[in-house]
Amino acid sequence: MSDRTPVLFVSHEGTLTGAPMMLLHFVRWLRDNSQVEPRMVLLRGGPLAERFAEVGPTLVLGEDVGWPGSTSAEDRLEEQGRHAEAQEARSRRVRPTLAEVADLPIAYVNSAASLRILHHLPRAQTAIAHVHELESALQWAMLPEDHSLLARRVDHFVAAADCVADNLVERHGVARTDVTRVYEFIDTGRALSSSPDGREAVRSQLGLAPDAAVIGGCGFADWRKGIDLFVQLARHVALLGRDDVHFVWLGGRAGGTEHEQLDFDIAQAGLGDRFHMVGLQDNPFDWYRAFDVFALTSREDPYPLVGLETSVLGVPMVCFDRSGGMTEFVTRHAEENGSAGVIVPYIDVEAMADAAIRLIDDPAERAAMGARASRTVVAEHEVEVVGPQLLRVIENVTGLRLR
Amino acid sequence: MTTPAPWTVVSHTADDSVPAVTVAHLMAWLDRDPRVDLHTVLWSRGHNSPQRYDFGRLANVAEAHDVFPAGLLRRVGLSRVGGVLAGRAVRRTLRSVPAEGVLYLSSAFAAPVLRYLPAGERTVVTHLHGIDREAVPPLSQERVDQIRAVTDVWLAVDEKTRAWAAKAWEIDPDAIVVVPEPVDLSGANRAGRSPDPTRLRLGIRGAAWFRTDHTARLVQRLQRVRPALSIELVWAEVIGSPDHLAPLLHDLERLGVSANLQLPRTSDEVVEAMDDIDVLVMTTPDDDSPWSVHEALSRGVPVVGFSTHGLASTIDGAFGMVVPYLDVVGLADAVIALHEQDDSAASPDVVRRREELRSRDVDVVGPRLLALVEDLR
Repeated sequence: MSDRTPVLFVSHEGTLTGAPMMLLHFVRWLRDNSQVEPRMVLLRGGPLAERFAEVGPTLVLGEDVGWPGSTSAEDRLEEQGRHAEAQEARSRRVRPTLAEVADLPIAYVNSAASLRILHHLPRAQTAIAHVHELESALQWAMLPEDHSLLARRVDHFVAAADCVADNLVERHGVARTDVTRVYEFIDTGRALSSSPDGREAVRSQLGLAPDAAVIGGCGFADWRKGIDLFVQLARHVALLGRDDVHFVWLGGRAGGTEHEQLDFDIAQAGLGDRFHMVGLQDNPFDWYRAFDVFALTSREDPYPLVGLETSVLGVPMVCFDRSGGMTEFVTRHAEENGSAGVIVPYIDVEAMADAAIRLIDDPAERAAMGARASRTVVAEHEVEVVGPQLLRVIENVTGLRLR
Repeated sequence: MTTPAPWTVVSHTADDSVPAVTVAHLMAWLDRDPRVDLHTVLWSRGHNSPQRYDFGRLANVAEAHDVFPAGLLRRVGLSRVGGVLAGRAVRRTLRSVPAEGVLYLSSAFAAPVLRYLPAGERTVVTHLHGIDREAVPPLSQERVDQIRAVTDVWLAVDEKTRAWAAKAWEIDPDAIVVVPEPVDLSGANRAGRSPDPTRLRLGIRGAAWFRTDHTARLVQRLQRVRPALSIELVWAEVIGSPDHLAPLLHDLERLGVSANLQLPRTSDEVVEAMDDIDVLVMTTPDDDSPWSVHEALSRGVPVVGFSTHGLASTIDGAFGMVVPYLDVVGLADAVIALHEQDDSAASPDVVRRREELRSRDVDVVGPRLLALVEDLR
């Protein structure tokens, strides 16, 4: 009989996105380096579902019981304002499927979008919530009835950045002592083993001169990631007379009106062939290597993994103050080593343009800043470093010895 | 002394569309003219107050549509019975409309009133606007035939609308007179305003572009170029869903100025707020409802916007400034220039534009309309 302790890990989906990817790395590390026996529940499926299943038993609720989501009877109850009855009806539907994980002593809920599962798990289960979101994303990810779970049902929080911890405390009534900040991590080996020819390959693919400067952006092209600000940044750089600078944005984009608005803005910005929306890429690291500067134009981004992935490749970052955790990354060792990027006032596109151009025009400073950023990622944002920190949180909350 | 002629002026609704806004200006002017005995009709409910159409003898059909129990019956699926009851209520409401004189329809969308009016001998004036031309789907042939059968005087707000009406509705183009939508510019004397140079009350609206707009960036820029200036933001529009404001509030909060934003609770407050605005900023590239601009024009509030805006030619120079799209720095410079502008130093170009705009002044359009109808009757 195994002397491992089974722990339930919940992911809101199995897509190739930041939070599920990070959880996958973490449970793999736990399987190989601890006494934890990972058991997974994904609220919705995705390409990572099979990889989770390779680590341990994995249940995909969206496919098995149609939850999250409502039946028409539950919808009617909601429309009539009978929310508690609707919730109970959902529980009756989903609890039998969750029975096989309901007796596990610990539920580790990854991201606020997964919190809703706690409505249907026994209260005796110790609940740890790993929150990656700031306020806008929290509001988007949680249903109205989920908010009460934060203060009443969760035993301890892991916050992805200091700003995330502050938000939980200041806006959601969470006790400071119930939050541990543990920064995000990435697979630095995968990033560093990517082809060093990426810079030239991307320039060739885009038809750029080998010495063309590239300012990169990344993420789902929406308000939160500040694609509109990225376009304005490009326009301002062009106004500075820098026709040699190209702009490349990686990531998906919305359809419909938002799509048309973005195209309108790009056309009006008069950037011609200097603005490139390249969509999702199979190997983003080639593209990151092509960046001279990474412009994080997000209005709200707790601790974006792309900031770590570009940094580990030595690409310096410019970002907005008060936009999230990357300002913590940039300044963490600034006093002793110098900063790992440049912070400009919130949504100050003109200041960001000036900062980016200064870096482009100063290869030595750019390289030095990029090197500092890369060292910080390798030293502090690798699963071998962060995994033990997260395991310690589980041990401290449960009183179990799991190493 | 001549007996005042009955004029019944119909607004198709009480929303932010151009005809619904400008017809209120026309009503107010007609109400002041001793040659006119004014009656007004509001056909359907809009999100603005019906008060702007009430000059003492308002037939508010919008209320009659939902008279009890017609509205209730429609809601429970008994549309036919509800419709009959509502029709009776509409007819009762319209009994006060004179059987003679002039019937002015603010747009073709006001034409449904024809079916319910008491019989009479009226001169029907139909004023076609952009919303008639751009209606999607277009008005049905049945409706067009109905309007064509009763209209004695065709007006179009511009040449484009005139050409469209001639082609699409097969109206003799020589029978269509171009009369622009009237705006009351009596309060539009900027020289009579004396903005406080230490305080800027910025009218803003329309946070729809990317679920946000350039307001926050504009405030940031203004703070940089005029650090001592106290900036207040006045939301000059009826608020739809609070969700639309969330992204803007997010940005303003990050800049530490969210407390500077004043939001209206009712549509009446929006109208009143215009008197407290120093400069109105149109931060969207275009807009289907330039209500705020018309209200601003009528109160001498200068407007700043992007050159992509459909109203750019109206605004620029005469009643404000336009800057290239996305040029927030230019937007801030324009706001400062207009806020601190000595209006007596208007350039010849500005003067020329103002003269052009005068053709839309209700003091010009009103008498022209009266004379036109008198000639044709």
